[in-house]
Amino acid sequence: MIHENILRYQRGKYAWWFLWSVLGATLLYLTEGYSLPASGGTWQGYVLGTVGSGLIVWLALLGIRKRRYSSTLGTVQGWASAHVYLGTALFVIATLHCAMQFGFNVHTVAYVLMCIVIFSGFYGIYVYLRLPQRVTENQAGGNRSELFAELFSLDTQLRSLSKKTSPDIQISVTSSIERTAIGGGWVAQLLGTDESWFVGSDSKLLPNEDQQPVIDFVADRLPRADKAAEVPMLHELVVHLCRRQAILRRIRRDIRLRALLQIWLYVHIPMTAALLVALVLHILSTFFYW
Amino acid sequence: MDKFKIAIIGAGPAGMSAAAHAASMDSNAKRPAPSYVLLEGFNAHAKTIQRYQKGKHVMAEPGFLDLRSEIRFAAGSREQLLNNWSDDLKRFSVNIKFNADVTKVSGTRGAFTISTADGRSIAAEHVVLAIGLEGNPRKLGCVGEDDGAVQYQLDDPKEYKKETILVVGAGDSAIENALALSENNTVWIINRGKEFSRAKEGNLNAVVSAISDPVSSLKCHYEATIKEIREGNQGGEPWVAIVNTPAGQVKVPCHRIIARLGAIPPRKFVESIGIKFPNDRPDAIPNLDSEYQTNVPGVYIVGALAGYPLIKQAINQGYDVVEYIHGNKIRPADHPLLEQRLAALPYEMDIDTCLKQFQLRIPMFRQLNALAFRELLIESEMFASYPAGDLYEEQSRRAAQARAKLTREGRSPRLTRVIREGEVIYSPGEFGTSFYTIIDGEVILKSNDDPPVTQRFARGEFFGETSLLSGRPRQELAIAGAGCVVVETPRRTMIKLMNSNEEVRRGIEWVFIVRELQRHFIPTATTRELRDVAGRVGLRTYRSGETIYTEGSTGNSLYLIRSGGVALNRQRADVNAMVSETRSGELIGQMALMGDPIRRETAVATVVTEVIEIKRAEFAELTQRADARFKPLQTKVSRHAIENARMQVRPEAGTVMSFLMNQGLGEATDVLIINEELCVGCDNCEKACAETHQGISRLNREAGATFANVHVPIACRHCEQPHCMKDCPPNAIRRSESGEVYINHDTCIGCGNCEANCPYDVIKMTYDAPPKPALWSWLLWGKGTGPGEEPHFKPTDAAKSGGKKAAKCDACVGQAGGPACVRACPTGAALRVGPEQFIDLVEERKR
Amino acid sequence: MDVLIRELRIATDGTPEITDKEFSGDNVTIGCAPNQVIQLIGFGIAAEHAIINRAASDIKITCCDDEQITINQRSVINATLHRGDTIALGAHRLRLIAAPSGFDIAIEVQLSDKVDSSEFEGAFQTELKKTRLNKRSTAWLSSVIVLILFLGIPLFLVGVRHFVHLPEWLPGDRLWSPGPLSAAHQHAMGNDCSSCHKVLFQRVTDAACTKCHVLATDHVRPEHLALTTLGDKPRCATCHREHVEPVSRLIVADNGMCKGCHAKSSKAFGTLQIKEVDGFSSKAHPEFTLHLLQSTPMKGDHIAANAVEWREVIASPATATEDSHLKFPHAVHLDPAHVTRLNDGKPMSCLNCHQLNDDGQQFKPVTMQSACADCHDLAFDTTNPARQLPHGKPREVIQMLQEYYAAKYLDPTAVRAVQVERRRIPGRDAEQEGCDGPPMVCARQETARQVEIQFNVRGCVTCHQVVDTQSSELASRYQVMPIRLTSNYYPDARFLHRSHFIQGNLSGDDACNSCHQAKKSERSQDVMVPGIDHCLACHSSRADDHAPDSQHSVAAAIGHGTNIVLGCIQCHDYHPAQKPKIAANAN
Repeated sequence: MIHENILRYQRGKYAWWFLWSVLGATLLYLTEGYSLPASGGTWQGYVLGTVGSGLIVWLALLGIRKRRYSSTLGTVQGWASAHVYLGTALFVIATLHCAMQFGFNVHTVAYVLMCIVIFSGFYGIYVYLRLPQRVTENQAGGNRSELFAELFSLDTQLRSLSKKTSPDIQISVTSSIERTAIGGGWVAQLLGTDESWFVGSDSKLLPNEDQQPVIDFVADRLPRADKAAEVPMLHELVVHLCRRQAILRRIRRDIRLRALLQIWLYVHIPMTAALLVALVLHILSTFFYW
Repeated sequence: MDKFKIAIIGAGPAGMSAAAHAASMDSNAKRPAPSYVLLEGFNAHAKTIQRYQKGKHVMAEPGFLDLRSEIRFAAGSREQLLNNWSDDLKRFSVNIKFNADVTKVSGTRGAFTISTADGRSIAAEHVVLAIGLEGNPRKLGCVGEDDGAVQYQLDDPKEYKKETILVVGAGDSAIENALALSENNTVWIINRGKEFSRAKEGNLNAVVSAISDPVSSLKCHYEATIKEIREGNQGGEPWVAIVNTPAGQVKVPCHRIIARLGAIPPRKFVESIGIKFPNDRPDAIPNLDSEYQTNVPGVYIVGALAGYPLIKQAINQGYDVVEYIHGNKIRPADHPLLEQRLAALPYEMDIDTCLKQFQLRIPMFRQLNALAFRELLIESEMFASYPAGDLYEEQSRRAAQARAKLTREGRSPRLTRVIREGEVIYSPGEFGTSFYTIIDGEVILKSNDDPPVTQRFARGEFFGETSLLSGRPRQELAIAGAGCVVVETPRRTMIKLMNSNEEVRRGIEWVFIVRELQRHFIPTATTRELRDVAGRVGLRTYRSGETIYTEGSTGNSLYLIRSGGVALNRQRADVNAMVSETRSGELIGQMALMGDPIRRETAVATVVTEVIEIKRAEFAELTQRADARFKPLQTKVSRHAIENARMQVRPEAGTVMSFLMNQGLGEATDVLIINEELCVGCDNCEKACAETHQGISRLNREAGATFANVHVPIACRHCEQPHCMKDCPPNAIRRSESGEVYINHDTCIGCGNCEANCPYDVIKMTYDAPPKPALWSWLLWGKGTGPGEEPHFKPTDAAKSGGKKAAKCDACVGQAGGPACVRACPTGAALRVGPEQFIDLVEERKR
Repeated sequence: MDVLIRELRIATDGTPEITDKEFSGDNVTIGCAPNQVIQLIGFGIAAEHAIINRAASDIKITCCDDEQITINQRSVINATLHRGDTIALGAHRLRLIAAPSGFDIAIEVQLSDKVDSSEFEGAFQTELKKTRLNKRSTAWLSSVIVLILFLGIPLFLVGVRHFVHLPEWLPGDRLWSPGPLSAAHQHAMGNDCSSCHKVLFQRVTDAACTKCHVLATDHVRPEHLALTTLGDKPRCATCHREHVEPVSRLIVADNGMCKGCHAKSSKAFGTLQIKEVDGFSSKAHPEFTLHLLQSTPMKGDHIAANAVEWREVIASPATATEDSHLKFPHAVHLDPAHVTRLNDGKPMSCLNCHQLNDDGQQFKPVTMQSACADCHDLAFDTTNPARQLPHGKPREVIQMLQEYYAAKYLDPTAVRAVQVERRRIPGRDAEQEGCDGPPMVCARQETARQVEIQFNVRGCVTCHQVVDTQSSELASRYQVMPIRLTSNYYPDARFLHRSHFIQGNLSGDDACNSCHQAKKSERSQDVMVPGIDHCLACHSSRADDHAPDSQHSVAAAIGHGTNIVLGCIQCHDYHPAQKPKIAANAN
């Protein structure tokens, strides 16, 4: 393929930026700490701090650039690539800026927030590079709405088929449809848990994880069907239920993968906002009490 | 039997306009009885427009043409239009006869007999055919089909519920109707054949699965025909159809029968009158003289059937034709346009003589009738070159003044362009499909290969036909020579012309072949030298998927692809892997004539493809010449050999390639490819598209086919010969010089032809989207739905009145930075590639 | 409650098709999820959209979070339903109809056939953005929290602390402190930032420091400082950084700052020429410069012969000699052959005379009283040793002698002293034997003789330099030269004698002698203060460079090893407590 991922973008051009900036920062830091102890207060500290805060603001601007669709200021992929590399560099720069001096204060809070943002970003890169492949494999060509359409048609078919069977079977099948849980809260989506239920023998509500119980329940009936006419219907039902099971599995996996693909943004972005505030306070408070 | 001076058949815009004008002439002449009659087979006027969907907005294109008629016509909703016209018909108390379905016209000028379906017949001196192209639905041809049970179209399937309905036919329209109806009704399909062979893939699957589904209410009688339709017995369904099936006769009680057996094109009827068509092409146009008269004296054709699809043109012609019939040599409505057209030419003569001169001078134009020629000139551009200096300054100043004057009058000026001698007309690589005819002076063409071969074309010759026929970019550099006057004709006009005029077609195709031979074999040869060779090579057309030659067979001819694309496959261990993909303008199978008679690949057309077959004899003749260019030929052969080998050793690449071809990329010039390995589904591409295109996304990322990480989303691939451009009444779809096919939103009339013609569903008809809040207010406060196309947006009233327009990807033509979708992709999954990159696409990355 | 749900489809011919469903439960749930009592699928219908239930007598419909419904063309969030009310949900219609007997509620559901496959997914929560997670609100929340915690609360508490005393554990502006204070400061002002940070956005002023630290002058005069990068009045904080770790770095121990000015002699500051100092080694540090006192006699009539004026002069330790007008050969005193201590007869030790100041650096001034008097008493009349001459007051000495002898001759009994048995004329003692004149004459004679002896033969003159003016006037004949001893030869440096009393295996006098060549010093003019090479034997600014001459006595004595590293400020104060005096007051 001629596509390049963000790390490889233009032969990893920004990897070099990363290297140089880290190198520069480190050299600058090494000149620190002779006459005065290394800290954000020395001129080197000020330089690193200014660069760092500049970087933070620029990195946050990706959110804007990404949505300035008519902008010709580079491509979003370029920005993303730089975002990744310089974001990593920021970690080094900021650490050198504070000279590893931490405490319970706004400054360290800003640092911690920054770390949260950066490391959630690392997770993001990982999933962005790994998961899409698996999503595609799982979808096997059919996108999610197609899967749901099929599921829905299966439901209607099952409903109409089950009408022709004995009541308890009908109830179990219809209830299994009604009580099928897909997705749910974010935890459920991330873990891919299955909270499905169905009404089983002597109309008890039973857990129906992965639809297996209801399939077993219907299959059990096959040998001891009331009427011979019911048997082919039951066969049909089992087939449809199994198909349904397969579809549901794919849907669940899809949901789970996509959730894993996105969840980090729910940390990355809010924390960025908090970081920006903390950054302002950090600078402000530094000069409050200069 | 009542007798009229004029009988107008068909109450469409043209017919009504003609009738209204005739009426007003009568009233001026104080005639007691109408001297004309307007015959309409349908029970209302303007059948075609009646069939538009409700509230459809109808545009008044072409804007530059003035309306000349009694009846009113301005852009507006379908309803307004129809009401205006029915008022007009009343106002002039037009003598119109509805349900008068003309079945036969016989006789000669002055004494025509027109017989209608209801057996009555009318005498007329002149007949004006304004019947349009819609045609009449093919009938069942069974007993009792006219008793009201049968209908030939289905406007809204939702109208019918809990009925039993018979749908007769096996085509797409029949299937679509049946499926739609089966939601709320019991539907029987009556299929004459054993299966639905004529149906589209999607429809086929849908209908078959529906029929086999025990639950669904759709059933089918195969190999069945309706024998008779009877009144149903009381209380039950109103009708009973008696159907012949292999199992014998069946009685099917039903509420209604919908016959979808296609339409009888009007051509048969027209020919029955004795009117000749230039050829058998379905879109051929009968020969007319400058007064719309056919080869049958006294029979005139106006409107769509005469090749004028736009309402305004038809209306004007209706007016003109009546004038002509009354013997008034009025100037047609387009006269002022022609004046402007020829204004800046270095000739001092009036329009008509000027036109005559042109037709005399230019062999190709000689073939046309005056009408078609005027048409051609109006739709074409013209430019004249002057030596740089005072003369040029003078001319361009005058042109500027004229333009300013016209714009002040509020007309869109279509003047002759004034250019300097030596200015470039087009340069290699430009996508231009227009066709140039030299009226005067000379034009210099420089070929793109080194050393460049220069040719000088003079009066009467034409150029630019290669791009016209093959749809590929320009191959050479065209420079305006001394005092050249050139007509630049847009593609669609040219196609129309070629379809209606066999000589023109042959001429152009012949020259095309000559130039291709020059390009590939003997650049220095003159046209004359190649004349008879060009005559002897054959032109073949292959449907998509057809095989041109098969691997292992011995061949003794090579093929020059004129248009379309060809896939070369190799059979290896029962894997049929594609090894290369060739485009128009390339040679295939040349090895057969260069030492190895055995075909090493199987050549299959990926899209509809035209090839020029060159047999051994001709090839020898071409290559034996001293100045034959043999070397590039050989180098090409060896290069292909390498490419093919590389593909062959990686069959998986071959399969990907053939997947691409199956997606119809064989004719693509610029296609969006998404790498599923990288795509995280953020839909930023769609958002970017919507944000840069009036809030409407022209691409659907999730839809579309995927194979081995290669995803081809639903987005325009800018075909070499765009299907959407085939039939755009206002000519709103254009191709930019850089190749982007785009729709002019302002001139689009929302007819939906392009949507229907596009095989790839990349065009959608939609209202303009409402404006959205600024980015920051969304970012901070979550106002609005954020960037991207707003799902289920409610169009503003203004947008509603503007009507639905066609929207498609324009590859961000004219936008800095290129396609927004690609620029907006954060992961680099989205790329736009041209055919030349397909190889790299399937090539695994080095290192 | 028991509910009748009547699904209604109207065919085109107007005939309604009805399917009844019974339901008994408290809540009739409406939504597009399959588990809803009434499942309605379509655009704008949430998985769980609304709930119909009965509160007391009347029937209520309540929408789920941020959903809404239209009842009789009014969109509402919840409402009380009455018979005949029509609820529009997407394309579907619900109507409350008269409940047949046995039912509490009857709902007529008019289903629309418009079901678009793209809406099926809407029946479930399948995307994170549909869950309770929300980037925007989280962002706002976290931002505001940060804002309140680290701006709002501190500002508020700072304000409050002006008026009421708040417990220490409340954070306040401590949250802005970038790091710990040095222990002393922490102890002194705790968490009260304002004690140093007086004004917002203004750097800490020296006033804040000098409030406690009463500073002596810098070692450089302001006009010279002005020439440096520090500026004429550098802020204390330029060098003394608080809130940084390690807190020990509050005082700049590093040579860098000193070198900043001293490393390059080219860095001449205007008129001020400085010696090049680039550390402490033979190459990097210039030879020490002794600060000595030098006396020059004052000339002119009516001016006493012993009148001198003292000047401070600079000299090199190698060559320097100094005349303090004291006669004291160290060698003699330290040689047990000549001198032993009275009390124990042991040889003299340095510490017998030189006693260390409390600061452990310089020595207490050596005085007659403290150092000499034990051995050198000032008796003059052997017959009467109890009588001692006063020290340091020549005039009183002469008066005393006059009075003493006058009395003695006028009334011998008055001054009867120890009888010395010897043969003589009865009624006369030793002196009287030497004088036969009248008593006053004899007394005068005897006085003159004694003065002569004391000032010129063996009294004062043993230690003091005495000028004999040959004046007939007895009182003004002999003049004693005044003594000034240098107490600190290196006023610009600090040397801790105490810590040098033990050097490797040397201790006691050996330790002293390792630097001061007292045993060899015959003349009191010798300046026994060592130069730089002595220090370099053990010290350097870099651990790894070795003493210039490793054969050096001291080095040899205490053995080699790596150097004991010295930074500038080990010897040189930047802020000396007070301008050091070099001279000790003598008497």
